[in-house]
Amino acid sequence: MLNFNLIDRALASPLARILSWPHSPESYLEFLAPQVGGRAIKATVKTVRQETSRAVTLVLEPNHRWSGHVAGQYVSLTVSINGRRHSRCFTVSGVEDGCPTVTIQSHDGGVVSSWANESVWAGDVVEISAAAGDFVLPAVLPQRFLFIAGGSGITPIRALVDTLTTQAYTGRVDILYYVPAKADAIFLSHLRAVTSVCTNVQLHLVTTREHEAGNLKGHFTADHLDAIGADLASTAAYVCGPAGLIEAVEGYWNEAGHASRLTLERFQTVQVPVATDAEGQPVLFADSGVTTTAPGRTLLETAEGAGLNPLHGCRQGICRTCTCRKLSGQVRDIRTGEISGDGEETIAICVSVPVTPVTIAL
Amino acid sequence: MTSMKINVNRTNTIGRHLSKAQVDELGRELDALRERIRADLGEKDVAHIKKIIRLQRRLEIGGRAAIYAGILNPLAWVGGVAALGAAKILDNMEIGHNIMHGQYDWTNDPELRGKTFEWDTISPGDQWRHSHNYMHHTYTNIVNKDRDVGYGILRMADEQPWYPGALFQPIYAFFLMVFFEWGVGLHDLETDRLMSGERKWKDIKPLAEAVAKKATRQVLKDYVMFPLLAGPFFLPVLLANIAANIIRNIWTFTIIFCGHFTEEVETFSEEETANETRGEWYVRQMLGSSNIKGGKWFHIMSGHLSHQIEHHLFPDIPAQRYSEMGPEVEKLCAKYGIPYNTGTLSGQFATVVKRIFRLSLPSFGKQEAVTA
Repeated sequence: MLNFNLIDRALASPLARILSWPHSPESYLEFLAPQVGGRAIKATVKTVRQETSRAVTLVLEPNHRWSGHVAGQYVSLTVSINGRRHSRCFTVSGVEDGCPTVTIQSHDGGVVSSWANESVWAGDVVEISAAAGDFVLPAVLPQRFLFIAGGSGITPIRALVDTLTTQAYTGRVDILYYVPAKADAIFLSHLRAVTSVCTNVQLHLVTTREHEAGNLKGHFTADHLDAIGADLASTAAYVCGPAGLIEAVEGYWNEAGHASRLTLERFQTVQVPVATDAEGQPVLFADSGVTTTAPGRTLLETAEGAGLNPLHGCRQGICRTCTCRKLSGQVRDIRTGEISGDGEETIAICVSVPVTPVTIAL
Repeated sequence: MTSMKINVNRTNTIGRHLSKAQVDELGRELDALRERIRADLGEKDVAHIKKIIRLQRRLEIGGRAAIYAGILNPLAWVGGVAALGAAKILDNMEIGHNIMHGQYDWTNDPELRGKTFEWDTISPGDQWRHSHNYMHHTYTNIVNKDRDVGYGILRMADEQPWYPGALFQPIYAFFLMVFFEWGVGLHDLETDRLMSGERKWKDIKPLAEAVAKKATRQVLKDYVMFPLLAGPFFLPVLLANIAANIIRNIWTFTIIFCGHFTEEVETFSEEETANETRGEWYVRQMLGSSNIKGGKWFHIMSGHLSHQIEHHLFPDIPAQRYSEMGPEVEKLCAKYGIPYNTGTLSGQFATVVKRIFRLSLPSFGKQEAVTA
C-alpha cells in the first residue's frame, strides 16, 4: 500500500516543482490517479440515505488527506453540477465506518441542496475542505446542556448529542427542535432512540406550522423555555438554525444576562435575491475595503469612480483582462441582459452591472 | 530597423458592400449564435479539456521517460522527442491559449482560470494575456495597433513601409519559426520600438524582469535539470529537449501564421476602424482571419486555431465548439457576401510563404497613398 502522505511531501519538494514547472507536481499525479493527486480532499459518495422527503444524508469516503473533525464542525463541500463547481458549507452530522456524513436539506432555488436531494449517486466524487468551526463541546462539560435547533440546524446538534451519549455524559440534556411539521424533523427516529436509552436526554419537538395535541407549538418564545424547565444560569446553551430563530434566542439570552453561555451557528438558507434593475446597488470591494454604490454603471466604472485602478483592456467584454472574483451578489451582463448566480464566480467587470448588493475581490 | 509606423489615407469602411443595417443584423445573428452555444456549455466541455490535459500530462511523462531510455535506444529517443513535442503543443495551444482566453472561467475551477493560468513556454502568462487577448483580439489586423501584423520583425502588410532590410525577411521568418517561443516571449517588450526610442527601458523594465524570470525557469527545467538527472549521459537528454521545443515552435508558427497571413486576409487602418460598432468588429474578425481544413485530431493539435475565424468571433467560447459553429458561420458569410477564407494546411501555408517573399520586395502599385 503506497504511503500517500509521503508522496504528497515528495511532490512538494523544490526538485518536483522545477521539473513540473509551470504546473504543479500534484496536477501531474492528479491526471494519472485522480483520487490521490491534486491537493484537494476528495471524497467518494458511499451511500445516499433519505432522511425526510426533503433531506438526505451523504456518507463520504475521503482520501488520505482527511484528518478528521471535532463533533459540531462543518466542511465546505465542493460539487460539480453540469460542469460548474459550487461550494457550500455543511455540518458533519456524524461518522459511519470512519466516513464523515453530511445531511443536506433542500430548499427552493438551492442549486447544491437540490442536486444533493435529486441527482447525487453513490460513486460520485466530491471535494471537501478540512473541518472547521467552533460549534463544539467545551473542554470541561457543564451540568446541563440545552440544544435549540431549527430545521436543518439539527445537524450539528445531533453530532454534539451523539458525542455526549458516547462519552456516557450523565448531566441533563434538553433538545428543543423547531420544525414546520413532524414529517420535517430530520433524525427523528434516531433522536427518539437516544432518548429512550439515555434517560437524561429529552427531545422537545415544536411544530411551527402544523399543530399536534400535546406538543409545543409556534416559533421560539420564553414560554417554551419555561415549559421544558430550562435554567439558563446552569446550562450551556447551543442554537443553530435560520436567522429568525438565532435572533430570537440570542436576544433573549442577552436580556437575561447569560450571553456568555450561548454558542450559536448561523445556517443561512441562501436567499436568492430578487434581482431588480434598481439603481444604486451597494458594492463592497473586499480587498480594498471600499464600499460604494453603483448607480447603473458597470463595476469597472464604479471601481474607477471609487479611486481604484483595476486592470482592464478592451472595456467591451472581449479580452477578459478585467476579470475578477465576484464573492457574492448578482450582476447583469450588459451585452446579453443575463443575470448571474449569486455565488462566487469569475466575472468581467467591464460588462457587469450589479442588480443586488455585491462583494468583489478587488 | 524602423518601427512600423505609417500614415494611410484609406476611406473605405469595413464590410464595404454592406449597409449599416445589414452589418448590425449580422452582428445580432452572431450574438445569437454565441448565446445559444454559451447556454449549452456544461459537463461535456469540462470533460473535453480535462481529457486533453490528462493526455498532455501522459505524453509529457511518457516522452521524458522515453528520452531517458533513448540514451540506450535511438528509436526511444525519437519517440520520446515526438511525444514531448506533442505534449508541449497541446499545453500551449488546446490547453494554454484557450484557458487563458477565459474559455473555462464559467466552471469556477481554479485550475482552469484564465487570469492565473501559466503555460509551458517562455512567454509569461500575464504578458500573453495583454498582447494577445487584449491587443491582438481587440485590434485584430489594424496596422500600427495589432503588433501581431509582423511582430515588429516582418513586413506582412502592403501598408507597412518597405525598407532594404526587408529583402532578408524570409531568413528572419525562418529564424522566428525555429525560435518562435523566444519571439513570442519577447513580444510584449516591443523591442523594435525600444530600439527606435519610442519606448523607454524604464517602461519595460518590469516586463523584462518577468520574462527573465520565466525564461530562467524554463531553461533550468528543460536544459539543465532534466539533462543533469541523466548524469554523464546529459547530452542526448539536452538535445531531445531542444528538439521538442523546436518541434513545438515550428508547428505553432505554421498554424498561427496561417491564421492571419494567408493571401486573402485583409488588414485595416486606424481611421477606418475608429468608432467601430459591434457588427463591424465581427466583420473585421472575419475578413482578417483564415481557417485550415482538417480532421478532429488536426483541430485539437492546432488548438482549434484551424478555426481561426470562429476563434476571432468567439474568443471566450470553449474552442472545441468551433467545429459545430463553423458551418453556421460559413452560412452567414455566404448570406452576407463576406468571404470565408479556408483551405488545406499546405495550401494556406504556401500562400503565407508567398506573402513573406512578396512583401520582402517593395509594393509597387499596390500600396495605398501614403501621407507624410
